[in-house]
Amino acid sequence: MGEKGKYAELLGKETDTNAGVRSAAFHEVIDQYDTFEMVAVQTANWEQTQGYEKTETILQSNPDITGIICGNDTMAVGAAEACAAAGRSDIKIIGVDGSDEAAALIKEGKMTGTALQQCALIAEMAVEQADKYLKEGSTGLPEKQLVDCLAITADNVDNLKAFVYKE
Amino acid sequence: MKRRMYLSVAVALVLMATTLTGCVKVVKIGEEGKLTGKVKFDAGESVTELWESAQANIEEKAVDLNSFLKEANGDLKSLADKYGKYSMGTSGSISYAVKGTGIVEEVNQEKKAGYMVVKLVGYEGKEVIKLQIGSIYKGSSTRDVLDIINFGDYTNQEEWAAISKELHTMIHTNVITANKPENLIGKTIDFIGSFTESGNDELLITPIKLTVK
Repeated sequence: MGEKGKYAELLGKETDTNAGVRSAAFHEVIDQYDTFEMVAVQTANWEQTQGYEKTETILQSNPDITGIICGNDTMAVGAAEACAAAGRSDIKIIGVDGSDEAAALIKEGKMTGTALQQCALIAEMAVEQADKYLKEGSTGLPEKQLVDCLAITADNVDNLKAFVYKE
Repeated sequence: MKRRMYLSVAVALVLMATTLTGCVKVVKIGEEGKLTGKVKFDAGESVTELWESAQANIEEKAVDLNSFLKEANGDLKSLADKYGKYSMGTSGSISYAVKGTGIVEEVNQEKKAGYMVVKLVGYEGKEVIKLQIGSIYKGSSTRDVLDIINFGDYTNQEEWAAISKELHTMIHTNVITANKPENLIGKTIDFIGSFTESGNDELLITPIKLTVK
């Protein structure tokens, strides 16, 4: 899209805090550009089928969009399929999670990118820290820890498998 | 006996009516903070407060970029333990605080994520040195390189993200716009700033101090 164009957003289940948090994070960056215009926003409840259907509808009413942001990869996969079915290979689709399905579509060029939540790493850290706590009485680490999301694109998607990123 | 019971019930009721309702405190909307001590988070205010110490923090730890690049010898990750700060304690992305003197070769403001290309004085390596000039700033190296704040000081990742964004607002006004980047081509500048390692070919530095010579 470069730095301009019309786009749509697929939101997660709106009763889920994460839907709002992820949307806010997208907009925190995108809204700095007055050259981007969001022409449609719909909830697809984190689901692939709904992602597909909502995207179909959005494409009919807003054929001039060139981007779709999605609150998770499952909806993004649905959106990518809808765009492929409509012959719209020009639309940039971004998801969140870093699933293998999204990774496959990024490799095929049907999705632009995703943000990997390093859940495998988080699980590892949790077990290691729990073990340390039980054995030594303290993890020695702050209670709140930040685990980076990683931007996955065609450039580095080969390093991603089963939510594990290895260079 | 019965009368006594009535009396004690009556006393209890009176007590309830006076003492218990006395406990009910009416808190007006927006004034919850006075009671809970939790004040509404204002990233702009927080950053205004920490701005000078943030500048001082980065200035103090900044490594001379010439010697840094020579020491790294094409592998910017190699100096992580010596000069860098990891995003996740001992892993994750690496941010460095650096300083240097360079000649502005190019000023690109066509993109909103604008930058200037700088030729470091006294350095002949192949790395491209870019200084961000906004109005949109990429990454969060300014926040991530700081030792004076931690993620744990904030309620959640949204507040943490807001701190980075407000730092950029502050930088844009006080460091970039104040020095009129559009006029800097060909000029020699001293800069202090930070960058997050992202490959070895290009350094995208977010300045926190600029001096035009």
